[in-house]
Amino acid sequence: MSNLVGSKLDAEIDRLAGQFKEMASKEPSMSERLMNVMVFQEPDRLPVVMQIHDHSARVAGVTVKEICTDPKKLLYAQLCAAVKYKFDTVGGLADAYNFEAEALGAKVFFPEDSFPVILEPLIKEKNDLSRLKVPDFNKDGRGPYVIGASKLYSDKLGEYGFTSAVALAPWSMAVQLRGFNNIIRDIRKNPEFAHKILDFCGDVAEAFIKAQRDALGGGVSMSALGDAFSSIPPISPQIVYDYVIPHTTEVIERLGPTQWTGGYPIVEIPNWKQILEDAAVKSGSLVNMVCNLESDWLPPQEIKEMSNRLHKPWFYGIRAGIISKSTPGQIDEHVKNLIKVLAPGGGCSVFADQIPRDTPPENVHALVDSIKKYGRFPISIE
Amino acid sequence: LIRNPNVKEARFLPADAEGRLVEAIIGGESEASSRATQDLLRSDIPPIEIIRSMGKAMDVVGKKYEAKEYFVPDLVMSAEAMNEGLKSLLPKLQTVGKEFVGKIVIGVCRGDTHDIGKNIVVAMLRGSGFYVIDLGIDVSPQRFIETIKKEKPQIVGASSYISTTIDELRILNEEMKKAGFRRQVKYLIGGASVYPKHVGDVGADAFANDAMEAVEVAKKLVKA
Repeated sequence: MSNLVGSKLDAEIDRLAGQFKEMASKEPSMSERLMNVMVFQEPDRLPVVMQIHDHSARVAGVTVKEICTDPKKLLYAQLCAAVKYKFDTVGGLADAYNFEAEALGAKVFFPEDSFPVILEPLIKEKNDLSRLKVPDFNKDGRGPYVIGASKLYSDKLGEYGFTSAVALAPWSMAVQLRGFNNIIRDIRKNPEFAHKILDFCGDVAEAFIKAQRDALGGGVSMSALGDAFSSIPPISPQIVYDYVIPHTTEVIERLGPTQWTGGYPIVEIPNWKQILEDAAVKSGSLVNMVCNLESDWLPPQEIKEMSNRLHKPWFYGIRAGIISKSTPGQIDEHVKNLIKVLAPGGGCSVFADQIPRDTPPENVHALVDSIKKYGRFPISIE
Repeated sequence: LIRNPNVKEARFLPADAEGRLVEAIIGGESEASSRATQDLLRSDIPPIEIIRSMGKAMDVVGKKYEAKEYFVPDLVMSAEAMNEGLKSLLPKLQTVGKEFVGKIVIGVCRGDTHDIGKNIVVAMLRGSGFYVIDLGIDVSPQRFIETIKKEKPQIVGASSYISTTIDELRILNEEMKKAGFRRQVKYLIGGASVYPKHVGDVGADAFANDAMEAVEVAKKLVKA
């Protein structure tokens, strides 16, 4: 555990925030760049969009448990990483998959240097669902931590921060509350009960996003629903169509413009393009994200074509395995090839799916440098 | 029909019961799998033959997964169906250990509780004729060592789902060395955060990317 606490921690946060703002003030903001891409215009360059969780703890010399429980340690770690690697913005939570279950009363274990783990499903039996009530995220579980972190980002970074209101989409939340095998069994044997769980999860997601929006007086950069458990093959296309998309769509309709990342194939299946298209169109997600986790099967040309045809923005993930296991030269080449296809004309960009804890720092530098180098408009890559 | 090789006088399994068992596992129907297994046992069929039938079914399931016709939920349901059938066989399996392809002690490493993949690997190994001692999740090196001492497996399998627990795979290797068992067992690793390069890093003998590969690798390790 880090001994950086109290006024020393506050002073470090202020110092790093000042350093970051000084760096960021020289260029257009992340929000500005992102917005340009999303409305199919060309910004000055592509935004550097990173998902950095436990790696930031490593950079900052704090434990994963600390960044998952203390908003100041979280901001400190994210600032350390942002300054070290010259990211475009600072933001994001370290652990987005356990808040709702914890606020509802699930027992959660916090390892010192790993992400929290739900010890047992909250909905063990059918009757358990009727006992659950939508939490008050201003006081239940780590709701205050999440809201506190959002306020802290906003206070310390102002326009240079990127404050998202984040909740789990109904499917991933259902997996967390019921357990994967149980919800799969419900779908097989009691689909009505599975839908009831997902309805409840939709209500919880709505309440969580609204609590975060309210805490910032509407000043969030984006609302987002995380849904990693809804990708294929962890679930089947049939489950995506029958359960994931309908329940997500319902929540997005209630929330207004919201980004959803889910329901997409991470390995090649015959009808992958149709599934991606249906998920994007039916859900009404503000931005669509996709990442191939198996070799390089996902052709960026196809994503670009789909994005242009549907006039929907798409972000293409640079997978964690490439970021952590390649050489800096390989990363540069990979990013270059993606940007060459995706970036021209706006509408598409790249993002780091996740920066694993053990990623060599030179790889992260290579990733950021290559996005900044090749993502400058007008795109001119041979 | 399956011929029982251990009985001199040719004897055949009741076709419908075997067929029902295979179909139940492929379809992920636990109750049907259990009923079919019990019917086969009542017909005095040796457990090892029933396991071979289960293996046939899991082989079909694996091929369907590789063909992208099945997805993880299908694997989970089939694995559950097979395990349901195995419940009736387990008490009888202890006495027929020598008939198995090999013996493996398997578990999710300390600090990790993600076991969906491991459970599928266990089912596939059992279906392929391995005698599997499943230690479950969050297994300490000490527990692995105690089990190795007692069960004397040919293979030890450990998985890590999150990158922060990969070091546990190395620690297990070190502990096996200290306990003097390392040369007697082959060490197989896998899991979402594990890559082939980790074989060298943690001192394992082999890596498997998924359940189907785990079976193939385990077969090779037993023969090595």
